[in-house]
Amino acid sequence: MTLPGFAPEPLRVSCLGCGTEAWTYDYQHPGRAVECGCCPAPHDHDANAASCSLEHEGDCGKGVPGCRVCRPVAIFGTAHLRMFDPAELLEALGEDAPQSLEVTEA
Amino acid sequence: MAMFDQGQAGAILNAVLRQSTTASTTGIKLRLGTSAPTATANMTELSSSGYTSGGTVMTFNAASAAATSNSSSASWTNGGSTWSLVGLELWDEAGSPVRWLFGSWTGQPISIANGNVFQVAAAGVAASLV
Repeated sequence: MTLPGFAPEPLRVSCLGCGTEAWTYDYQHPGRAVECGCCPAPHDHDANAASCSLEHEGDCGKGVPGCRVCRPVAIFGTAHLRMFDPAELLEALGEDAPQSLEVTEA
Repeated sequence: MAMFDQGQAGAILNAVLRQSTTASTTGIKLRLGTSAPTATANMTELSSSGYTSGGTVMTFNAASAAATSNSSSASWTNGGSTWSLVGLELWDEAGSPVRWLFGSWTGQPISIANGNVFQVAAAGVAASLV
C-alpha cells in the first residue's frame, strides 16, 4: 500500500469551457492535459498569444480580441500535511543506514 | 518535523500536558506560497493579481482517526504572470494571525498560467497525525 503523498500523484485539470477533465503528471504545463472541443490543440491555455498562435495557426490566444478557441482550465491542487515528511524520513534512514550495518569484530 | 509551526507545536504540547489553552480564533485561512515553508520559517506568500494576501477562509471536517481534511473549497484565478506554487500554510484569523500548519503542494512547483484557475476542492488538503 502506498500512503497518499508518498508517491507522485497526478493533477486533476478541468476545462472551464466544457468541463472536460484530465489527469496529468506534467505539473509545469497542466493546461496541456485537456483536449476538448473548446481547445482542440494541446497547449498551455495561457494568455501568451505568441505561443498560442503557434499551436492554433493564428486562430487563438486567450485575451486576444476575436479568440474563438482557447479556454482556460482549472487546476486542482492537493496536499497531505503530516507529522513526518517522507523526504525527511528517507534522509534520516540514509544517515542511519551505515551505523546500523556496521559490524563490530570481537 | 514537518507540518507544525514550531511555536504552535509547543502550544499544542502545553495544551495537552499542561492543560493550558491555545488561542481561540474564528477560523482558518489557506495561504498560497512560492517557496517551501519550514517549521521555523514562513514561505514566501504569493503576490500576484488574482490572489489576496492573507489567504482564503477554509473550513475543515471534524477529525476522525487522527486525520481531517477541508470541507470547503477555494479557488483563485491568475490575473497576472504565471504562478509557481510550492507551499501552503494554514493561519488562524486572530487579530495578529498565527501560523499553525504548513506543507507543500503535491507535485510542486505547479505552474498556473494567466487566466487559469487554481482550485482546492473539498478534501484537497488533508492533515494527519498518524
